[in-house]
Order: sequence, then C-alpha cells, then structure tokens
Amino acid sequence: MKLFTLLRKIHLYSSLVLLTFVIMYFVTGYPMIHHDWFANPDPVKSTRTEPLTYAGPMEPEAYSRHLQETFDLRGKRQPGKRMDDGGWRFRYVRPGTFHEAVVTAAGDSVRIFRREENARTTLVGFHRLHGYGGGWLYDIWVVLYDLASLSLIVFSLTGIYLWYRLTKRRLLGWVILGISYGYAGVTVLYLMYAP
Amino acid sequence: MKSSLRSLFLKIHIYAGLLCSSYLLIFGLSSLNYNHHFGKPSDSDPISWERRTELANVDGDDRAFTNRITESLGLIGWTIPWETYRDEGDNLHFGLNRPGKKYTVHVFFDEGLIRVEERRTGFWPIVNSLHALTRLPYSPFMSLWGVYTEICIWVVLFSAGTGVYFWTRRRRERLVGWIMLGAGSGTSLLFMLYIWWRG
Repeated sequence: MKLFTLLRKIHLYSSLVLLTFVIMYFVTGYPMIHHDWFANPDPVKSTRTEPLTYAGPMEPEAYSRHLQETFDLRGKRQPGKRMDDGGWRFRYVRPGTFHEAVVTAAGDSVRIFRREENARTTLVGFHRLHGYGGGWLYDIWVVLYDLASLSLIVFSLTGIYLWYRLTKRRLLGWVILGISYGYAGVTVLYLMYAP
Repeated sequence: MKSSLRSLFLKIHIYAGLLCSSYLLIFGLSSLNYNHHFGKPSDSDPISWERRTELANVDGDDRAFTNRITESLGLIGWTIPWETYRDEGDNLHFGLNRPGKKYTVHVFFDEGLIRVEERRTGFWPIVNSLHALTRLPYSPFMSLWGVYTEICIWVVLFSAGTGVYFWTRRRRERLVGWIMLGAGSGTSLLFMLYIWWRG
C-alpha cells in the first residue's frame, strides 16, 4: 500500500472511530472558555449521615470501594485523604454528580455530601475526567481520552502530508503552515523569555 | 451538492486544517500530559531584582492593589490569592503566575522598595498552559491566542463535518466507514451516556 493511501486511511478511519469523543471534548470545552455565556444555576446539595461497619483492610482504595458499593456513591474514586482528627475523606466524581464521604475517626459513621450539578458544570465534568484509576469504567474512558488526544496529533501530521501530496500549487499551503507554526513558535518563545 | 461548493468545502478543510495544525499538536500533547505528566516543570534558580517605588500603602482591596503593582512593574500574569498576605509590618507579599514563570513580589512601603523573585518553569508548563488559554493579564499579545483558540475550535468542528461528508462521497469506503463509525463513535456515544446516567 502506498504511503499516501495508508496515511489517508489513517486520517479518515481514526477520525470516524474517534469522531464522537473529539467533538465531545471541543463542545464541552466551550463553556470553560466562555463561562459567562452559559447559565450557572446553583447545584442541588444534600447531606446525610449513615452508620458504618467496615471490617476490611485499612487501605484507602479498599475503604473507598466499600463505601461506594455500600452507599451507592457513583463516580470515579479519587484518592482518599486521612484527616487530622484520624477520620477519612473520600470523593467520587462523575459528570453531573459529586459525592464526598467523611468517615469519623471511630469509623462508626459516615457523613455523605452530594451535589447535583447544573448542565454547564456537567459538560465541564466530561471534559475534566482524566487520570487512570478510580474504577475500570473510568479507565476505559481515559483510554478513549488518550486516543482522542493522540488523534489530534495524527490529524495534524497526516493532514500536512495529504495536503502536500494532493496539491500541486503549494505556495498558499506553505504560507499558512508558516503562519501556524511561526505564530505558535513565537508564542512559546515569548512566554519562555518575556520578562 | 454542487461541485463548486464541494470544492470550496475541501479547500477550507485543507487550508483551515493547516492553519490550526500547530494548535492541534499543542492540544494533543497537553491533553496527553494531563493524563501522563511526562512534561515536568524545570526547576531553575531564582533570580532576584529590586525597584524603587513611591507607591503609598493602601489598605482594603489587596487584590486590586497587587494588580496595580504588577502593572507598574511591567509584569504579566495572575495574582495568586492564597499567596497574598500582609506581614507584621503591613508590608505586602504576593505570588504572581504566568505560563513559563513564577514571581514572588515583596513590597516594603517604609523603604519604598519592591523586591521580586522570579523563577522560570520551562517549556512543558507553557505547552500545558496554551491548552485553551484565552488571555493573560497585561499581555495584549496573548489575547491573540484566545482568538486562535476560537478559530481552531470551529475549524475542528467544521472539519469533522466536512470530513464525514467527503467520506460518504466515496462508495468503496462506505461499508468500512460505517463499521468504524458505528463501532467507534457510536459505541463512544453510548458509553458517554452510560457514564452520565449510571457511572
């Protein structure tokens, strides 16, 4: 298979496979850069206290998983934090919902705080879901995140090659490429060396 | 669709794509870095310098005051609220951050002196910060990056649409394409909905 055909297929098929994810990241990123354009009503908050019995290993990940399964705290498990008073704090994050579980030092009860986010924050939640760990479901998400990130690099580089091979009059393309990389390069240098 | 319109769409797809090529590279690299943290900040030695000032101490809104000082020093960046404080002598201290550099500014009103410690953070924090950066206080030049960001967002969305359209025009690749679209993007969409509903 010729290189042009191969790179064209890579450019095409990677975009078809990852189309939804790439578009999702650009759509969900938009409220982050134009947050004033989008309504931001207050989230719905609730708190409850539950009795707790835990006989498992005193290891944060196991403790967090136990709480999640026992109290149906949906979301990506965040690293647990030991509090100054000896208690534990665990957080669970997913687009649209945030849970925080604070276990007393005695380990006999847990206070669960829940926050139901608005539409804008839910979109941002999709965008900010990264980092491996916290559950197999979210590890799959992060693999797709990595592929979408790689695809941007692939689109860019294969796209340059495809343009070069497709067009005979390349002056305009060279000028535009020069503007693109020149401007990015100047910006990086400016930030590296500006006072 | 008329061939002239198709040709126009193809030219926009190609040339707008070339225009945003560097941005997509930076976007892709910075996104990967958020997950894998391969680009570490460099730990350069701090440099200190001083400047005389006649700024009178102003009690009240320290945030606004730090902004005035930043502007008077010709620096660019965001004041860090949690690094802003007054000492026992009511001298003002604050941190200032921008992509590529961190400052700590000490204002000694009695002496009429401002001391600045600055430290460069290197290449990778800059690349990470350019991920959808729209502005940088006191830097009109960096507002251009916000314009570039906006352009590239719409170019990507347009290119996604036109790319799918161009694919549908080629009979030979339709079946494989539909399989890729269904298996990849269709499954991804269902997965997103599942994460939101039951994740």
